[in-house]
Amino acid sequence: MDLKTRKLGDWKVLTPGEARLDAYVAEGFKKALAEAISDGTKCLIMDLSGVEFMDSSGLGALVYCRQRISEGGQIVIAGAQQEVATIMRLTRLDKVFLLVDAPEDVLEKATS
Amino acid sequence: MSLTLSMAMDPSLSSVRKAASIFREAIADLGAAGVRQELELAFVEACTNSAKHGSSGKAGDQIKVTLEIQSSQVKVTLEDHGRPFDPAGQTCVIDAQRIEALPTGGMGLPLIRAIFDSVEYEPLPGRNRLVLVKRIPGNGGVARKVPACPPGATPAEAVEAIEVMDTTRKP
Repeated sequence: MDLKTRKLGDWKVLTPGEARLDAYVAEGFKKALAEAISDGTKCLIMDLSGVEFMDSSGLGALVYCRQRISEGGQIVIAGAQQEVATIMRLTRLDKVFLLVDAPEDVLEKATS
Repeated sequence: MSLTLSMAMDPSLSSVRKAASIFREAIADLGAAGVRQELELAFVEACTNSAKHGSSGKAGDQIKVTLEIQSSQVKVTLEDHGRPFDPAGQTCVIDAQRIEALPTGGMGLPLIRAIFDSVEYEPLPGRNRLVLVKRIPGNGGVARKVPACPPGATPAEAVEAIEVMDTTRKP
């Protein structure tokens, strides 16, 4: 899967090139995430503003990535549309991933 | 509003996407956006489970999906050829303090149970039948006229069949 990468301060911002993060793309998503953090990245922002649908397979890939980052790491979800926020809420994984409106909000939270 | 649609789906993840597109179109005028989003999520989870586990291994196995949609409720019936399973048996524990123990899979059935009001499973000879019902609160409903979808139609054929006429848009 195409995963655009950019730096934002100490954070790495990843933007999936798919509007649907479902079982059809989950394996490719997981591999792309693993590659993105293979350099030791610990602080990740997933920009999901372009994601219109995510199921448990897509969410499972994010959990897998969070586990790979392990201690001292963090994944923040930016720009989650209601569809994405819904599954985060239903699975209670909104307690694991911090949700913000935009990637830049992470810097504001860090400095405030 | 009353709509009944049957389709035969290959046990593949690409077919799940097509079925989801049909389902989304079928419930487009139903309830609040949040309800529709949850319904699509649960529908996709159920279809994905059938696509992954619902084949006996025989070539030509298909998953039968029936949608019965009224303004007051949505009923989804799925029939596949997978091994019998217990839809109530799978649990999913999320402990935000234990990152290493978070599940990366197995969240589908708990989501289905959380979203649908009724989840009934019936093992039949050589196949499984899962019946999911969701009551829609406070929906006035929009009458739709849907052309007949031939039994066994592929999702692509069903998509064409579901080109519906919204009777609220009379000239």
